[in-house]
Amino acid sequence: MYSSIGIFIVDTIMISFFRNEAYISDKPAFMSTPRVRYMVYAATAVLLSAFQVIFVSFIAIEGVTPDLVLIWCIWVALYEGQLVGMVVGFGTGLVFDAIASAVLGSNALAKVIASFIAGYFYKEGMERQRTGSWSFILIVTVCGAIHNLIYYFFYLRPTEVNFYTFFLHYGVFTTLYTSVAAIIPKLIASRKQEW
Amino acid sequence: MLRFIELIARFKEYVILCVLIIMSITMMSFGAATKLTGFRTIIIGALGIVHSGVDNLPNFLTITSENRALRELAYNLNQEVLASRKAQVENQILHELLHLKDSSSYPLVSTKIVGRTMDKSRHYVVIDAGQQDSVADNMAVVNYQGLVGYIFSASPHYSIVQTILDKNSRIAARVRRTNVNGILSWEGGDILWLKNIPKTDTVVVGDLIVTSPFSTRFPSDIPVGKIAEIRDEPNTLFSKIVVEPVVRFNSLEYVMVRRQQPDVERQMIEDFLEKKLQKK
Repeated sequence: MYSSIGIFIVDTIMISFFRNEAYISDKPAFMSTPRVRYMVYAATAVLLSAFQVIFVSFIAIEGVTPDLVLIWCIWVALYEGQLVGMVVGFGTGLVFDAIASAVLGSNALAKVIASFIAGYFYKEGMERQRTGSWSFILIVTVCGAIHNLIYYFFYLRPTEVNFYTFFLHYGVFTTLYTSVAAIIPKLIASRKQEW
Repeated sequence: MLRFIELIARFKEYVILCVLIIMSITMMSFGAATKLTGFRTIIIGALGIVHSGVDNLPNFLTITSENRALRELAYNLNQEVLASRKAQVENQILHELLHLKDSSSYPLVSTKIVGRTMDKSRHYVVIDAGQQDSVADNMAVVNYQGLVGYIFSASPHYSIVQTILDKNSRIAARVRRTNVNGILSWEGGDILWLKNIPKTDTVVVGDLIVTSPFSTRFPSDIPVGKIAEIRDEPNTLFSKIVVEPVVRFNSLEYVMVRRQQPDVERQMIEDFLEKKLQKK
């Protein structure tokens, strides 16, 4: 019962607002309008950033946490394409920077580039198949690695922190942890696909 | 003109990518996280309230290690209580004899940690004291073990403390036994690195590292860590020293804010000197 409720909530937020017309047809009409979708993206960006800052530290392993905000940006890029993905990645990155007291623009830059790369895997009409297959995890891993590489390169380079040690410790493990966390939305999407 | 617009429309993804990258880098170049002071104050306040709400939720992944650390701590504290009772009496006599300035002349604000943020290169904690408790930016934060960090930003009721385990950490410190000064920095993990210590200096594993009187941010003589390892750096005159912080950050629950702000005039004159040297 709880899993059904969970699936319904996540699904309502993450899937039903996207552009797959066949799926949207059994939802209220307002959900299929772009304006509502973008408002949902904005609201999700704020909520997810706050969730990342407050709650994700509870599942930290040796100080490494999964980047849920990045998964969200990649998801949007795979559902909406490169252009919308980049704008959402930039906006979400800025919101996260503001909420996490990070240097403004550091996450925005990394997430824009990650969304841009994720957008290459976008194919119209194949959105659900992309996010519901194991290729989604692979895309998250690739984009996550590039995201962390950019983040650490731009953010840590001016400091005395050893870039290679830091990237190997945090960048690689953060990428792997993020990929593991991406299995949850993948399973939800694939289950929906079966329905 | 029409062809130019067509060209932009054709490569709109790349154009927008470039625009967004330029915007991000421009914002980064403006730098400090404290730029959006008013906005951040609201966010800190809001996050503090939420953090207070979730404060009682147990972290199952760290609960075992925290329990072990607390047991060790309880044992060590017991030993220290016995030693400190004796030391207290001695200390009182020495104070009176030497007319030492009371080290607690600066009032302390006792606070509880209501939230933690571990984000790759940053380690912040949120405490339940703010401007209304006379807490202000840059004040040193300590606990009974030693230095925790400093106030990064404060809202009326909550403050963010940047711990010493942060990539921006640069602490002027000295080895208490030999009085030699160096710079402490953090490069990841649970350890600090002490640099600029000449190989000729006779530091040994176990030596206590305290804040230096040269520090513009922290008051002097606050314990920071103990030397855990001394590494020989080839082709340099200095050793690279691993320092284990005295504060147990994993089980940190209560901290105290030292209501003493860094000497503004001293900081100004040092900044002035640094700028002048950079120009040369």
